[in-house]
Amino acid sequence: MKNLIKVERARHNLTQADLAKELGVSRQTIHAIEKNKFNPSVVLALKMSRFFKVTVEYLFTVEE
Amino acid sequence: MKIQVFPNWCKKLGLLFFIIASLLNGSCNFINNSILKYELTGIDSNQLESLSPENGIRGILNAFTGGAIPILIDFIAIIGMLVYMLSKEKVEDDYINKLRLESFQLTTIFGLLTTILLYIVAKDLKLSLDYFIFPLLWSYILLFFIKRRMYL
Repeated sequence: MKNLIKVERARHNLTQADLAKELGVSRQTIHAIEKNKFNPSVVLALKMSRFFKVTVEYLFTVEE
Repeated sequence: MKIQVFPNWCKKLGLLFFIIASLLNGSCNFINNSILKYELTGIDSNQLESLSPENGIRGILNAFTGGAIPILIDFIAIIGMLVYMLSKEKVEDDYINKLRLESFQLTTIFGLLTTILLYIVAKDLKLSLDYFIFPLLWSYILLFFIKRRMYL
């Protein structure tokens, strides 16, 4: 699964630590999601999309 | 099911108790084995007065506690590790849970493989439980630590 977390984070001028603090997760979690090592839960994906004011489908795309 | 019931500060406390007690346990075993080695090689262990369990600091402690010190040290180490395992991280999330689960799985696999290997190498090997538990606890700590630091 691909994601645009890094892009959106850069667009909002946020560090991994800032985003982690906003979402209430650890910085390692953000790093792991950005590196596609970990797929976030539905709750975390929704939180992210709400925070960046985009849709979940935009933020996360399943590779064919 | 969330089994992490203790706050984050308990983690450091548990780890501290575990490391200190494990090191004490290790040094006690090392001293005992050294005495055994000297006995096997024909050197009278009574000559090594400071190392003998009946003398020195260990001798005094054993006299007061009736030889309960090694058991107490093991007990403290295991309780310390239990507290560490049941303590929360600074931030508890799905990813930390995943890392914890992976560490438990790898530790179990490591334990099983070691057991199989020991059976193959030495069929009649008889070890006390602490010889098996302590490597398991150490491997869990190391695996969890490495996994957490992997994405720093």
